[in-house]
Amino acid sequence: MKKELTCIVCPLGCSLEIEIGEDIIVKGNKCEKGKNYAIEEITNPKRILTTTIKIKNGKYKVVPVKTTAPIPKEYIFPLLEKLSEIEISAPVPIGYKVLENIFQLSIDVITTRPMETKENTRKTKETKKST
Amino acid sequence: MQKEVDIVIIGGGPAGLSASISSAERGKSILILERNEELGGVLNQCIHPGFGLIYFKEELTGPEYAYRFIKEIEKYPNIEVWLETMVVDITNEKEITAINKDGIWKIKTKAIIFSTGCRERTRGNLQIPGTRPAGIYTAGTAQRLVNIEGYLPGEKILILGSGDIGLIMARRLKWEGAEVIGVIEKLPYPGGLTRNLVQCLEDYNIPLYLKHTVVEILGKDRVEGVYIAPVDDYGNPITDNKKFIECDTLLLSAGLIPENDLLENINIPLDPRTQGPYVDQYLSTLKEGIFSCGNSLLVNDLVDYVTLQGILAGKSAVRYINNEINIEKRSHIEIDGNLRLVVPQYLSYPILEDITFYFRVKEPQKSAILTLKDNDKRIKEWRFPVVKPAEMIVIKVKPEFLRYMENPKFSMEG
Amino acid sequence: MEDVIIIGGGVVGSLIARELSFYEISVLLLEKEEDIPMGSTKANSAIVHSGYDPLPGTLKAKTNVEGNRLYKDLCEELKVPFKRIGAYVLAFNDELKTLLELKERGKTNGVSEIQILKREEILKREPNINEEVKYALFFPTSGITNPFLLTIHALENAIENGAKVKLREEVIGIEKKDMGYKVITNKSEYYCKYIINCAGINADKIIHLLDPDYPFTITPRKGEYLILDKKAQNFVKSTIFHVPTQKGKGVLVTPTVDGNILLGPTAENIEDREDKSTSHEGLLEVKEKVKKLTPNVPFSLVINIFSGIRASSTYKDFFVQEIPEFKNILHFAGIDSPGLTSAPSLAKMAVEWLKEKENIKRKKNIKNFEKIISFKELTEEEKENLIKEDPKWGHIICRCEHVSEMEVRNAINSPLPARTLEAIKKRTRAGMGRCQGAFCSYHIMKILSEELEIPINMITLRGGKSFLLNGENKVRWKYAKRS
Repeated sequence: MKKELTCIVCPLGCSLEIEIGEDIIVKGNKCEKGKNYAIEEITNPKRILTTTIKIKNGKYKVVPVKTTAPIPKEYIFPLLEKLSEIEISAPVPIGYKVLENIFQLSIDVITTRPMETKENTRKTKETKKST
Repeated sequence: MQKEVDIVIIGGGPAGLSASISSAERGKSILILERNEELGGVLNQCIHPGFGLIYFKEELTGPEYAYRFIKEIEKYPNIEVWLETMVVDITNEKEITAINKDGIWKIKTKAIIFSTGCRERTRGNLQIPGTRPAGIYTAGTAQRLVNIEGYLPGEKILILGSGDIGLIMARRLKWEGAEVIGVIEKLPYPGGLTRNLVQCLEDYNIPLYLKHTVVEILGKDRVEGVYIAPVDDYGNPITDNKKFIECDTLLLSAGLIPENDLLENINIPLDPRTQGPYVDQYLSTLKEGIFSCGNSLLVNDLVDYVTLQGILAGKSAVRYINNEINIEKRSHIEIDGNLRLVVPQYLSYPILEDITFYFRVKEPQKSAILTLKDNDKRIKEWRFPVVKPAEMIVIKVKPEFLRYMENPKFSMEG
Repeated sequence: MEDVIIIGGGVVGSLIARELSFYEISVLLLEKEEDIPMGSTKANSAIVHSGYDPLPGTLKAKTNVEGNRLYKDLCEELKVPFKRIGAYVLAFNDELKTLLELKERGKTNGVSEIQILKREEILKREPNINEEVKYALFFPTSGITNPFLLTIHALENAIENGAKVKLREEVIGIEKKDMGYKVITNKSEYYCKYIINCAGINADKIIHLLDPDYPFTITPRKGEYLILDKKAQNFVKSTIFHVPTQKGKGVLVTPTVDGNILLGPTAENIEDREDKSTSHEGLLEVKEKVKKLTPNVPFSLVINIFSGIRASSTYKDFFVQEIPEFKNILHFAGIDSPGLTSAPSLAKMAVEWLKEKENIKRKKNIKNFEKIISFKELTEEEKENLIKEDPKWGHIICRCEHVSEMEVRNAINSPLPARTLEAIKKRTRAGMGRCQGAFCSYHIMKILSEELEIPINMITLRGGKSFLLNGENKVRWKYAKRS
């Protein structure tokens, strides 16, 4: 089987041709990093998932989250489905664990910003006004 | 109401945040004026990773990157932050008029740092004909809606322009359950970073139509579809070959424009190539005591560079107030060949420290050579295996190569 | 039972509603759209013409010159910007004869202070005019205004004085009854003694509800425009026309009251009355034609494009008549250019018509229009005081046009409440500047959602199904089983 990829390791963006047989043969790469990238992409492509989840009583209605490490690509949509059913409550700090050890990967889903409550947002504004 | 402070920073995004810290470290009183309801600027809506690889040597999301600076700011009692505050006027004497919920403010200051960011090109700028239905958004507005407000702009989305925000939004919308029909790019090459092309489009089989454009928008209440057509080598659409694409949303990711309306009001000259002000290596505009950094200086592709520009602008503003900048001579830097822009555009002598230069090229080019000359005398050259319009070139030059040049010129040749 | 039903909330209908609301009669205005104005009044050149163009003796000529005279006071009363910036009609080559004829026509129509200028003088006054110009007529009484605000404020003032308005009600039938008429809409039925038809582009449809064979047809004519950023503000100081042709006054270049420059319109007969689209060819035509007037137009500063439809008709003049078999219905039909200018004069005609029929009495206490319109235009002291009253005045949400949160909230809580993004834009200019709403639209959607107490994804651009948002993130993952 043959596959084509664009290398993203450096701005050069080499067009890689990969032959997948017993061994994986990479052509078109100008450096070793490109070869490693291609092999990783073919055998076990991984991505960080960043998305939002619902939050009750927060300054905004959703809070951004991410996986703490790249996860295999095939888990992206199942994880999105799982996250669509989750709703947390404000306040939460940054780095708050929303899901732990997802798909037994030793990877968590955490918030990427703190989210204060609606009331608190109002309060800080009023304190500011009185000063 | 009156207010006096050493330095006013207009805009509390990544550039303004780092500028405030770097000037506060040096003991000045700082006031950040931010028109939004929180600090962080566009980073708050850039929830994807890819930030901080240069500055923090680790990969962060936009909000995480912003949070590090917002936390840092809290340590400085000499930084004051006014949110939901709009600067409406500036005089040549550096008096700022600002409006917020407390009233109208007249702010006197010794130095001003502009970190106002940029805005997006709109349908009107692009002059896309057709009807005027709901469902036409700039990519950044859509990003705000999805990532901060939690709402999808539509179900079936077409993106015009292959800039990074458009590519990132293609994946985001896909992840949030929308259908992304494709990305249309007028130029023969993509506008975004390779990483984004691969991970945002190729991963999800979202087609990219190069050398195409949207020639007509259809739909009465809501977008019902668009006509796209190929463009010739001069960028003119070949409407005979137009093709209908059904969609309910059109996102525009067709370029960013630095916001410098306030600078223009006080006649600070702007560089038509960057659409930001002309600056020297201190990031000082051609008006003393007024500095510029971040995307209002030039559109950057990495926030790390924005941060570095902010730090430099903050440091320079303090030096200016302390009378530590003594300029004996100034020369204008010319560019040539495949170079589209350079920042800084001026060198102020004497040069005491390394200078970081930022460039963009006009066209993609392989094995490119960047040369610095003075009056046609070759001073130094840098080689690049490949250069692309989407990717900014950043080089650091030591002062010994930059001593008292009459006509400095950078050129990019094959 | 109403005394008068007015059909259509364009500039003519709204000004008539206001005039009639000053009398001891009941007035109801029916508008089929979500807001007013939505038709020809919404998209035109916004010029208050001096009156040189209409043929002498026509109703157009009479109401144009009279309307022009009424504008200054009217705009002061309704707090609408109006500037008499004057207009040039340029002649190139052998057009001097036409120019002189035009001057005569203007004089006959009663236009005052017409000047004839030579090249040097023209170029001294307007350096961006094409150097090949030979002569020009200058009409100092020509002006510019804001048609949205004029219409909205007129109708709001009418409401303050007792007139009623029903939006989203389209008239689909009219029946003759003993005491007057029954007006049937898509939602309801109303009875009245008098009807005034101001249905603009659809005025013929109303006539044909009465008599399907009546020989009057609207022939819609589309005009495309481009708007330049305020950075082009000083490009021209007055309105610039070419000598008129059969098809109208042609393409013009003019400042707007808000400091932009407007270019256009084209003149294209169209079939579909709802077709408000712009076209590549149309925009190109505008560009080519304005280059003839002012060659150095900074097209890089275009911030918006739009088109409007003129309600031209088979009748050569404004059609302001009763149809003999249907007494007590006054039609204002075929109101194309100079309709905006003539509107105040047409409104007076409606009052005179009613006075001939009925002994109507003027109210003793007429309420003046009192509203803070533009925060930006106030003095700093006035601004300070308002912010002290309510801090929301100090929260500027439209960064391009400096519109405050309070202005947006006021637009929603006004006699004629803004319920859509476009309605807010028409009243406050939020979203009309160089970012075209990219920064402020979600803020405004949130305020609309809060004030109207509806979910944010039910907010529309301009009513109907023009929803701005689809739904919450991930709805698909949550509710639909993925295949």
